[in-house]
Amino acid sequence: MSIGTEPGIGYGTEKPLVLKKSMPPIMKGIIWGGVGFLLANGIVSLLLDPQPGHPFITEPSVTVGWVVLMIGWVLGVGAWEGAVKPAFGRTSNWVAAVGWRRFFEYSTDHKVIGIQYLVSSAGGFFIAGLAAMMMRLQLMSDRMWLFPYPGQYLTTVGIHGTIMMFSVGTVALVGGLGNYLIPMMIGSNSSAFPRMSGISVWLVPLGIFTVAFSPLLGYWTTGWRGYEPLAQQDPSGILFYYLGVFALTLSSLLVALNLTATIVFKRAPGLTWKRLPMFAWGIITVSLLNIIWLPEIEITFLLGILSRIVPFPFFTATGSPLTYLELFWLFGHPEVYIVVVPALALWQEILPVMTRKSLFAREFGVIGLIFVMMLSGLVWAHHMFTNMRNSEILPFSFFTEMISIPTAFSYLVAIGTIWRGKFRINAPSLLILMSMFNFMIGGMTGVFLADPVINLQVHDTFFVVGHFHYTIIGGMVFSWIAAMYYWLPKFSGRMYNEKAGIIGAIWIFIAFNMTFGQFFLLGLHGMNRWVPVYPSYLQPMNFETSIFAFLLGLGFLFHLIHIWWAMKAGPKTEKNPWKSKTLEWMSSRNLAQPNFNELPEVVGNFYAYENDEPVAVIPGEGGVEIV
Amino acid sequence: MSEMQNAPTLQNNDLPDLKLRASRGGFTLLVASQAVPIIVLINLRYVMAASYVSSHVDQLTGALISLVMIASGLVAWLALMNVKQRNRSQLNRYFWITMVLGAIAAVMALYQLWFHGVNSVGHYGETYLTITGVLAGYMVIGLVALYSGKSRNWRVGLNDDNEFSVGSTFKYWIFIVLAWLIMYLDLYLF
Ligand code: HEM
Ligand SMILES: [Cu+2]
Repeated sequence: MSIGTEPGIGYGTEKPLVLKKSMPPIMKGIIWGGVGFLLANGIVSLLLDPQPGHPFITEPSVTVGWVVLMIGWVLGVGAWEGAVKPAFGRTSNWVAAVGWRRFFEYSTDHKVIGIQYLVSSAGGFFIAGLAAMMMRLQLMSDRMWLFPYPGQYLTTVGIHGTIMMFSVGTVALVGGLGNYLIPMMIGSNSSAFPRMSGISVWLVPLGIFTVAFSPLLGYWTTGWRGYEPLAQQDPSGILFYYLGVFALTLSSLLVALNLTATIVFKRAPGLTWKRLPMFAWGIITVSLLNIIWLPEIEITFLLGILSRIVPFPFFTATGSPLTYLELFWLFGHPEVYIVVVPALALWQEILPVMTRKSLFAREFGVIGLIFVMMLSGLVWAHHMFTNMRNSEILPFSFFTEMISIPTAFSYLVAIGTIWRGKFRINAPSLLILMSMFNFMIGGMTGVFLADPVINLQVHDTFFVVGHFHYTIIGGMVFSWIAAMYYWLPKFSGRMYNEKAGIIGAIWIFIAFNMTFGQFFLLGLHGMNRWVPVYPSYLQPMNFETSIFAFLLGLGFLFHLIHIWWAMKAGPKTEKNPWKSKTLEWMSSRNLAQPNFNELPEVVGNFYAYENDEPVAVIPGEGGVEIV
Repeated sequence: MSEMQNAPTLQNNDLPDLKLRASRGGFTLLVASQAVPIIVLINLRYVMAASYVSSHVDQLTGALISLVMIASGLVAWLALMNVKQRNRSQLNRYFWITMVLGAIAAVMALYQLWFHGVNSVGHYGETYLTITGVLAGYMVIGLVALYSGKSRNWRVGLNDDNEFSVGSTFKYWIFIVLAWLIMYLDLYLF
């Protein structure tokens, strides 16, 4: 049930009418999806099975059933009324809910969508985090004790990695912060394709659930990469891996299309490319990567599905398993930059505000992001050195080491900005510094790994696991938390507790480095990836690494609770507490209002903190506001 | 509709052509992303089976599908040329002809999938079936898109707001026709 103005009848009378929705949209989505699944599954079973219904669920039937479930789910949560009916020229009875209900249905408001993405992503983070805790619990002993079967451990690794990569790493900063902030930052009242965006967000919870419940179909042992020919020999759980990732990547693809068009075409007057905010640069570069590589991995996974359910021998021993590996890493390496590029942009967004100094060498920052984006397509085979000849290794090794140059531009810009500034230490700025430190460790170990001699030694050991957690948690998750604190006043009109924020930051910094720093050492000592049991001489170190991992998990939980508390009950604060110059701080966060009543005109540089020149002219109600 | 739609925005205020440019840009990006799987499949065909063509493949039906697709593409192109006139019944006719031809092609592609003579555990066969199936999928999506364009044209009529998006359903169909033709050359001839 929701309250709104009825369209059509009563239009113009401004008399609010109470409209009943027959049931909560989420409920409707579940029912439509569930019924759709049963029908489609049954039809496939009737058509294809020699003895229909025995068993009721087969690999082909569950695949087709899931696709129909996905369609039913998004239509049910509101896409049918809100988007599909208008697309077919029918009048829509859709009335957007008000109050908290608006978060539980299809919406076209970029702020609501951004929050839906952030919450879904955080949900994925903690579900996959729970899986990580279970892995670390198992690894406290050198023999099987928590999991009775190795397949269960490996499935947990796969669920952890898959949900983390596709619903957190790819989503939190882009679908989440990007959807919420980008329209405001570029002085627009909406994104370019609000309906598409309203639909895409609902694919995230579906994708997370699909992967999390993959054991319903059986264990799978490939990890987040779905390696062939292993995937063909696995139990059927691997199907939900493919399908869940399909939902998640489709969501991110739609976000990329929407945000690119938003940044290119919806900028306020005067917001030239030279003035474009750094975070918008980050989002546009990452979106171009998404637009190219997400369809690539989707078609690859389709080949994986067909190989199983038809079946085809694409990637079997008589086919070409190596082709799968190439196709996977062609996407897989750009994926790591999809994760980290928006984080680099966040450094450049937050540091000038906290130093009250102009952004140093802005052009280099932009060039760095663009070159990282372009080079990221040239390095994929560094994941496959063990399968390659020396002559093939060399160019990939070279380009991989070269990519550290444009990456270092981000450091140049960040350090140049802090240099001799009045650096203000608070939770967001501290977390950004920590992110820079962690990502430096991650990046430098990456240069080591690009060296064939080292790579062939530490390939598939915990050294690699340490390396990529340093880049992803150290670089991206720390920046994400920094951004949550930084924009908390924007999201909620309230402030967090500075002491708690700083203590939490130090807590996760120590726990993180103690955990993953030891992953390097474990790897160098011979600890393999993807094993629930290991030689006993590694047991003491694994035991104590796990303790730090639990502390890290608790630290993340602490931040979650603190941020939640601050948004609900933190002290009220002024509109722009950091005295930032970017446009999002000038806009309205009220969900019932447009961002800007009148569109702003940009007249200056957002990052010039050394002067008081006006940045934008916003025609307000009582005259013109110059900021 | 949410509150946002009625709020003063860039589009309904001072810069009316921006919305059109955004739609055009977004559509171009969409097609670019949709072309990526096609490129992967072209590569896959040569990786798996070099330029081998099975003698069991139904050449006649393949050629017929291509002819029907070309015809539907031409109609779609004609329609595109005439969208600006906003002639409701004329456009409706174009929609119907494109859709009927497209549906015939799609059914024939499904026929190829079901009654194929190729060996599905051979490398040519698996590539042939995958590509045919993917294109049949694209065709079905394209037909749904055309149907949405047709319904909007018929029920609401064209206006400044929807002219581009209704017309773009024809453009999307033309993209699918081109994709089919490339794959036809790739699979059946070279
Ligand atoms: C408390 C935090 C975390 C802990 C303790 C943790 C721990 C682990 C462990 C023990 C593994 C298994 C290594 C192996 O046997 O191969 C792993 C794998 C992985 N983790 Fe994490 N992790 C954490 C957070 C994250 C985050 C935030 C991300 C990404 C956003 C992430 C991404 C991955 C990926 C992609 C894999 C590889 C899975 C695979 O091999 O298929 N992890 N993690
Ligand atoms: Cu890589």
